[in-house]
Amino acid sequence: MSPASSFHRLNGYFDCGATSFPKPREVAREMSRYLDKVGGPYGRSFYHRAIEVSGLVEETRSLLAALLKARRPENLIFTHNATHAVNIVLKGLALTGREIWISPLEHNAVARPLRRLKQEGRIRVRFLPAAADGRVIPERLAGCFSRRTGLIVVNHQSNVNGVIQPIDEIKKQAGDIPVLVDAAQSLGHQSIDVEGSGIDFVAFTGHKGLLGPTGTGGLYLADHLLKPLIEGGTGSRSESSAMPDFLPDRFEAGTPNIAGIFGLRAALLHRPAAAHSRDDFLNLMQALRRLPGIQVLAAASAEHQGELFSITSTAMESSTLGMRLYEKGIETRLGLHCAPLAHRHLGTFPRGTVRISPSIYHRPRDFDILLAALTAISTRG
Amino acid sequence: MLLLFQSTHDVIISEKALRQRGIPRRVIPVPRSISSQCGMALEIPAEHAEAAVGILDSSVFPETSSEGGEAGKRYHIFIPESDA
Repeated sequence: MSPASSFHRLNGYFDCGATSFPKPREVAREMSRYLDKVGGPYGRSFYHRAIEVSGLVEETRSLLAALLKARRPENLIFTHNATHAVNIVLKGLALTGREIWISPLEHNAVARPLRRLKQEGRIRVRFLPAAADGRVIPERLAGCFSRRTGLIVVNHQSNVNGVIQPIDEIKKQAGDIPVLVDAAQSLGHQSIDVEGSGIDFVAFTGHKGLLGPTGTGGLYLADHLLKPLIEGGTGSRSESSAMPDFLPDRFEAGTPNIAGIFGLRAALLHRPAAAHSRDDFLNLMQALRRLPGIQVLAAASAEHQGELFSITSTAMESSTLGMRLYEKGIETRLGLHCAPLAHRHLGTFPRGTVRISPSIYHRPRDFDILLAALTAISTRG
Repeated sequence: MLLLFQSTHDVIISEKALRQRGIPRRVIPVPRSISSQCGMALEIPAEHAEAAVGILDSSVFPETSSEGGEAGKRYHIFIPESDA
């Protein structure tokens, strides 16, 4: 791997929690190659063009399965994004009459589908016991769950304060109760071992930590009985009006985002080494904590900290702080980050925060520019 | 011999495994007279049929071939009259 040093100018884009930028240059090249030269469908036909495309899609599936340490690639299905994957689980599992336990840091990708199921009188939602930073306390899970518990949902890495949840320990406490991990922010940064941990579902996106294009994502699912969210043509069992009962076809109706999958494969194969160290990132957080009037929202312990965090200012609203940063060439995400539950737990609702989310492309000198900008804003207003 | 599969995924991983083991094979459209299956089938010369099935059973679909028997297999074998 070569270092992620293709940026010659300073990189002021700190909104990789929304979508990563830049991408490995091979991502655009491969997407263009598909659109301009390769073409053709996934499956459905026998000619060479279709075989080449299908082979590349299946190679990407295998790469993603390997990333999650899933033994069977067919248990990895392609989706448009993590939200799509979460919805497949929440609306496909038989959850009527059951309790769903969630972490206090869930994104609206989870909260909104659950609200609908709750409004329809089908489920009850309960919160997992957690510390002030939102990290679930596995030792306090004993006795939480019962035969009524239908599912546990955990946001692996918070998109607000970057807290990493102890997903393996949570699954251990859950036993046979299925666990859905929302890995939208974590995959590419944190490792997940579905075989070793027994985690049942992992929803992820391709365009954040994996550095792929938007419109790509996936869902790992263990062998659970789920209704498909979307039904339609799969190129298989075409004589039947019922969806196939086998993977991956059961959950892949319609033509997939082939250009996007070409790009995602390129991102997986050409991922650069990080241009900054873990210490560089933690030192940045520590330096920001020392600035007057700046609060850093993060994990209580550095070992539970993912590579994003939020800040607030006692001197100005988050929208003003974000605007001041933008005037100095720093792009961040302001507000509630589609995670009102998290902000309520962290005490920042409805004011919101300014989120700092770098990528592996950021170099220490990019962090220095961010620090200099915030130093100037916090001391001179 | 024709090998018929339930999904594109299974055709592709089978074709790759046979290619890596040097088994001659050709992707052809599934004859409508046989099945609609997934649109692609693998055509294997008769003299390589036994080796091809052995590879699929031992390294591509080891669990289904041992656990499910013929009914649980993720692929099906069709022998054209010319091969028989």
